[in-house]
Amino acid sequence: MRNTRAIMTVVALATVISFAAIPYGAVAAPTPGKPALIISAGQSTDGLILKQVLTDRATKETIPYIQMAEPKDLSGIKTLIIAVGVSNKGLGAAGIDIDKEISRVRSVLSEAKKNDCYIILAHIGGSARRGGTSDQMSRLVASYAHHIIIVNDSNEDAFFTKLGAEEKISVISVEGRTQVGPEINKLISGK
Amino acid sequence: MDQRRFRKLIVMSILVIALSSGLAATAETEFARDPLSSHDVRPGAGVTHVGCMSDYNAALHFTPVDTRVYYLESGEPGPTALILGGTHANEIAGVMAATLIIERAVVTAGRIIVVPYANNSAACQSDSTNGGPEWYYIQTPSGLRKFKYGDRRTSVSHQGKDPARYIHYPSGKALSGNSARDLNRVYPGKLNGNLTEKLAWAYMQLIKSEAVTIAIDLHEAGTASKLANTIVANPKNLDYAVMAVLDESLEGCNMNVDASAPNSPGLSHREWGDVTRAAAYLIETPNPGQYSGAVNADVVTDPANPLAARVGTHLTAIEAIFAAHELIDGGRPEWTGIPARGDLVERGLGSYLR
Repeated sequence: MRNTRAIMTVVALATVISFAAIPYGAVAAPTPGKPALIISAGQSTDGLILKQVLTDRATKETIPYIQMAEPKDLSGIKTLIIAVGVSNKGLGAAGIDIDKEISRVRSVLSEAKKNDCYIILAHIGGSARRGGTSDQMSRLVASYAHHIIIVNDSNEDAFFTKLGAEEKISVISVEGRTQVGPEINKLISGK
Repeated sequence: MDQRRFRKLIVMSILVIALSSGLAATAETEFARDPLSSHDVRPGAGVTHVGCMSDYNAALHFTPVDTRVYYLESGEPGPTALILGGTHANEIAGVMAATLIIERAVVTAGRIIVVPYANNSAACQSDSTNGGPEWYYIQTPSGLRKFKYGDRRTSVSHQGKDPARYIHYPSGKALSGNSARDLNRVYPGKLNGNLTEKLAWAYMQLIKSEAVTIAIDLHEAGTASKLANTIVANPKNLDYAVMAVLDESLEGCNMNVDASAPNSPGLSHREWGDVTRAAAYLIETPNPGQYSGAVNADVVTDPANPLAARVGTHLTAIEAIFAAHELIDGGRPEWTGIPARGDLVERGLGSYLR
C-alpha cells in the first residue's frame, strides 16, 4: 500500500514536472496551414494583387481576400496573410483615416493571436508603400507575425531585415511579386 | 461722281468685303481644324484619319483648347481604346507615348483613338507650375525635333481669372480656384461651362459616341511622389489593373495600383468610369521636372528616369492593360510597331520617332 502511494506520488510529480518542462511558447506556437485568409493593413490594393498571385491558374483555387476584415472573419482560419502598405487613396475609398485603420488591424491581430492563427506579414508594394504610416503599420503587424515575406524593392534599406531580427522571425525576400505566391504556398502547404 | 462710277465702286467694295470675309472664314476654319500647327506630330501608316475635339463639342471651334484627334482603325472587330497624352502638358512622357503611338503603331484589331495634346491651351504655355524648361529636344533619324514643355492648366489668358473657389459640377464640392482650369479636375464637364469644362464635356461625348471601352489618361508625378509608377483605376475595373501590374513584362517597372477615391470628383479615372461604359485608367511615371524651380531639370536624359524609360513604362502599361482585357473579356485592341521598354531605353526614344 505504501509502495503504491509512493509510486502514484512519483508518477504525479513526474507528470507535473514534464508539463512544466515544456516551454510555454512551444505549446502555443501555431503552425501554418489551410484555410487561409488574406487581409489588408493600410487599404492598398496589394491584398488584391496577393490574391491574384495565390490563385491557381489551372484549378482557379484561391485564397479569400477581405479588405476590411474584422475579428469575426477569422473564425476557423489557420493562416492569416496580411498585405501591409498604406494607401491614402485606399483609405479615402474605404472612408476611414489611418487611426481607424490601425485600430481595426490591431483588433484583428489580437483575435488572430487568441485563435492561434499563423500570421504572415507580406509587403509587395516596394518603396512606394514604405515610410511614415506604412512603416508604422509594418511594425505593428511584425509584432504579432511569425513570418515576413517581401519583395527586394521593399527592403532596399534593410528595414524588414532589421524588423525580422528584432522580432526573431524569418524574413524571405524575393525579386518580384509573382514569386511571393510560391513562397506562401510552400508555407501553408507544409512543404 | 457719276452713277456708273458710283455703282462700280459699290460692286468693288462688296467684292473686297466678300473676299476678305471669305479669307477670314478660311483662316478660322484652318485654325479650328489645325489649332496647333506648331506641334510636331508626324502621323504614320497606322493613322486612318484625323479629326479634332470640336467634332464632339462645336463650342470648341476657334478656341485655343481645340486639339487634334488621331484615329488608328483596323477595320477588324475589337474594342475601342482612347489614349490621352498632355492632359497636363508639362507631364511629357504621356505626350511622347501618345506621339510615338501615332507615328509608329498599326492597329490590327479594334481601334485606338489618340489625343497627344489633350489640353491644347496648356500645351501652348510655358510651365508656370514648376518653372520647367521652355522646350525639349529629341534627336531622331530625320534630325533634331523640338517639342514644347507645356503647362499644367488652361491659360488664364484663354479662360479668364480663377474664381476664389472652384465648385465642381455636378458634385458641388469646393476645390482650389485654379482647378477651374485643370482638365483633370473638371470632369464630367459642362456643355455651357467654362472653357476647360467644355473641353472635358467633349471628351465625355467622344467616349460615349465612339463606344470607347478602355480609356487611358497618361500622366507624370514628381520622382519622390508615391504616385510615380502607379496605375490608378476606377473601382469597377480594378481587377484589370491588378492583372496588368502582374504582367511579366511589367515586373521590371514595379508598378503599383490604386483605386479612384469616391471623394475625389472631377478626375478622369473617376468620372470616365462612373459616367460611361469605359474601363478607366490613369498611368503615372516619375518626371524629374516636377518640382518647384525645375528650370534646369534634365527632363529627357536624366540618368535615373530618362524620358525613353518613362515612355516605355507608359507603353508597357497600356499593353498590359490591353492584355488584361483580353484575359478577362476575351478581346483587346491589337497593335504592332510599338517598341519594348528595354529597346526604347537601349536605342533611345528618337530612334522610334519619325
